[in-house]
Formats: sequence, C-alpha cells, structure tokens
Amino acid sequence: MANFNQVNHMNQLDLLTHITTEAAEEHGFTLRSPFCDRHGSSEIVFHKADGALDRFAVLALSSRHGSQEQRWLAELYVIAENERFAERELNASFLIDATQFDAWIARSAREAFENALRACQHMIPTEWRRDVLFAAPPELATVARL
Amino acid sequence: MSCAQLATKLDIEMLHANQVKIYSASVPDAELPRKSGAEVDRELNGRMLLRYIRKEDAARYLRGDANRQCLTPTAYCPDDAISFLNLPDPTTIRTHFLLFQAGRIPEILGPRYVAWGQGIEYILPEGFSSDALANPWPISIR
Repeated sequence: MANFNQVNHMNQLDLLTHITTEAAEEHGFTLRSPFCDRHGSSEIVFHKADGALDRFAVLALSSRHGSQEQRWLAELYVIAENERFAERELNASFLIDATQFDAWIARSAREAFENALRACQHMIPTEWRRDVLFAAPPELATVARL
Repeated sequence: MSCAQLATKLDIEMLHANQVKIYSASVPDAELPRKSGAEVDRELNGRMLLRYIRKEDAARYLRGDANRQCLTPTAYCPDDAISFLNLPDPTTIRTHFLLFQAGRIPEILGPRYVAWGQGIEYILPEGFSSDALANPWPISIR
C-alpha cells in the first residue's frame, strides 16, 4: 500500500484529476479535495449539495505489491448523508497491473467515474448516522456531554 | 459507546473547549482555514497528530513527504481507524502509526469531520518534513 503520489505518478494523477473534475462538473459536483494521501491511499473527493443532502463521489487509489508485479487498486465510493442518515457504497473497484494503468485511465476511468456520479445522485441514505445513533440523550447532555 | 467513539468525542470536546470550529465534511479544502503548525499545536493542547500506516510503508514517510496529507488527532485501533476515518482499501489493515508534532509543520488546514466516518482530520497541503515526526520509526497499534 504505497503512497500513490510517491512513486512518480504525478502525470497520471494530473490526468485523473482532469478527467474526474470534468465529469463531476457535468453532473453538478465540485471538487472538495484534490488528491490527498489518507493513511496510505490517495483520494480525490467531489461534493454536491442536494437540498439537505450532501453527496460525495470519491476516487481512491492504493498500491498492491505482489511478488512479481505492482498493481493498483482503484475504488469508487459514493456517499450521501444528511443530519440524521448516512450511507456509503463501493460503486466499483478495479485491480489494475501497473503496466496497464495508463490504458485504464485513458479508456475506462471516465466511464467508471461517471457511473459512480450517476449512482451517487440517486442515493437515499437510510442508515442512521453513527454519531447520531450513539449520541447521548438530550436529558443527559448537560450532565455529561459525552 | 465504544472506545473509538469516546476518543473521538473527547477530541471534539477538546477542540470546542479551545473555541476551535470543526468544519463540515462538505467544506472544500480551499475554504478551510489555513493555520500555522504552532496555532494547531495550541488548539490541540500540545497533543500530536497521527498517521496510520502499514509497517512496510513506513520507510517512504520517514524522510518527509511534500505531497498533500491527511492526519488525525484521534487514537484508533486498526479496525476503528478504517471505519472512523472512512478509509479506502478497507481490507488493508494499517497496523502501525507515526506521530507528528503539529508545531513543526508549516501549514495545516482544518479540522474537518470525515464524510460518512465519525472522525476528524487535518490536511497538510504541503506535506511535512522529517523533523515533524515525533517518532521516526513506525509503532505498532492493536
């Protein structure tokens, strides 16, 4: 699980940033966070405010080192949440040989990300947010604010 | 309430007690306040920031890294780190961590809640140099 940024793939990240940003903007999403190393995986995050819902589409890249070859795990997550409910889904994942990564970016990345954006726009969160679920009842909040 | 929920809640309470606003997960990086490391060090009461890693990846971070990074103030066991920080590649367990002295990091954004997760994170837009590491070796966490 190497840091994607640290293996001189900046051109690929730049290209993915361009591809995902262009697709996101066509679906009304805006860039929330450019590629950032989050505890070993590189993520780019897009956001769309939809009434009371916040929708997020995420492309995450992680490396996998096998005995012979290096591979990249590309994951597409979609999230929808409001003040009470939240839901996340893994929309798609791809395990790609490093030698094929340029080709995946050129041929498949945009379509995969657009599929995720479309799925994200239709998500209706039904699971209670964990921070709401485990919050103290109001009558206890002033006694112990934990 | 789990230990991870308690640890997160205590960190949130600490930040609120220091009049620190924790921004919504929807706030873009570009709109987060830019702070000096010294300022973040004060709002954390001198506490350190954490980065979870696999042990075999540690070497690449010990010399510093100029790329954008996310760190958290909250201590989690490996399973909870994945859940509370909403980490991708969830089958890869981050078994170790590095500690960072915020005061030695030039610029920090945040804090902000993690989307779908419950944790909070700070962003290092210019990465960090090796002297920001409080422990220049990976420490196991269970």
